Amino acid sequence: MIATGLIACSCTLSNGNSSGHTAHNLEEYTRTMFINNVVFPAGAVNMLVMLDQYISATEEERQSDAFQWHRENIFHEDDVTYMVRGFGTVHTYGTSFLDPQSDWTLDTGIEVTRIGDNCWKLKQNYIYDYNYNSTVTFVGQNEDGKNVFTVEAYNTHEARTSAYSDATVKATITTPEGSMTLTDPRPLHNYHNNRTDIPEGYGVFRLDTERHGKPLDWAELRYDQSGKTLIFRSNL
Amino acid sequence: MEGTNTDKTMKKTFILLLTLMPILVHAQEDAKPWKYQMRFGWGGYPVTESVGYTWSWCDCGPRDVNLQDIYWDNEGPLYTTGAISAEFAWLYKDWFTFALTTAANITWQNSFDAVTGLRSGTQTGGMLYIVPECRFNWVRRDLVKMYSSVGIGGLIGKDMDNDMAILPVFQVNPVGIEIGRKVFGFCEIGIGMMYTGAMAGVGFRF
Repeated sequence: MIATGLIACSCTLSNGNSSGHTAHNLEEYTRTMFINNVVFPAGAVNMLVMLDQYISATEEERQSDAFQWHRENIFHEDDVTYMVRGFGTVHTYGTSFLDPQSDWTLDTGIEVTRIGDNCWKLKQNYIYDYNYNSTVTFVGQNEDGKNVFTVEAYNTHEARTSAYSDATVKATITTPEGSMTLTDPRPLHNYHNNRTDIPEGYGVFRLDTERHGKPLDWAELRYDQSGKTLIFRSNL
Repeated sequence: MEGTNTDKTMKKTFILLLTLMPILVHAQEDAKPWKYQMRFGWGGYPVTESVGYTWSWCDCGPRDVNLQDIYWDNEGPLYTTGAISAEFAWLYKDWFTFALTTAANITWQNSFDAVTGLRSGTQTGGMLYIVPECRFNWVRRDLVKMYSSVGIGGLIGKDMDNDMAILPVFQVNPVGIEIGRKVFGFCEIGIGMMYTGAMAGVGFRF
């Protein structure tokens, strides 16, 4: 009987895996895409604006509480080159970032191109899943002295879905109400480890997926009225 | 006096039995009617396939969910036939059998579309085991034999990723039983790469 039982147990080696097509996974992916396409680009521009504000400040102003973060995280390499902790090296060429004639460059793999008044296009495409192509506008400082930005995001990702065919799924990322507004965003990696620690903001972020030209799923992140929480909705 | 006589009788009987033992065994061996046997069996658990296909060798740590994680095909259960064996053996001595065992194990797994649930494809793999074995028969009755065996051989096949596999195989069967004369059934316990658990089947001698 024991022998028969042992033989019978040899028919199934594993139970396979459960479906990855779940609301939880779609939410995780959507939040990652929001951080990659909205928060990171806005945070990158915020770093440059904050650096510019620090360079422009007097020595007395730099000693104030408003510039405490700057004192701890910005380092001179030379008169026109600065290293920002957690961000990278910035070449200012002796100009102000907000000057329409300036052309700051970064040694961070991010391309920053001025396309209008206080408006820049940012691109990063050296890590596929983390690439972005977003437009960031510096609105100004709010009453608390924090920098405020708007972000328009548009991006697409494709991925194969089977080892038995070349079929792909395409994800389209947009800010469907024009742009989102963020206050004091940072391009730091702590957002990936703590999804609730997001910058305050306003607006809607959307992700749509399709295969063979037919829609599959949709997902949306919308700031609530307090501006501190992103509410997730999807069709799953 | 009586006790002493009984002891002497028992002692003589014992010495007589010891003297006759080789003659009795030799007579039993001379009476062996079969020279060869064939056996067909089915056994499990297929340890080699289990380790190769179900153990995770990557300590990758947590990572972000990506698009492929959501929409890649789901994998159904991984099935196996277990070791289906055929053996030819030379009944060299009553206490010793030399066997050549071949066994095959087929595995297969279906994949299903993550959105529609329809089957998208099937992966298959197959392993052929060739294991010469030395079998020591320590119970040798007319109807019942019990044995232990050890074998070293190899396997060749195609795994589920379409890669060729060639590996050495070691198999120990600490106890097995054969019941029957010309036609018999057998069952054995085994530990090794061919199977770990039990194998059972039928055979015939000639």
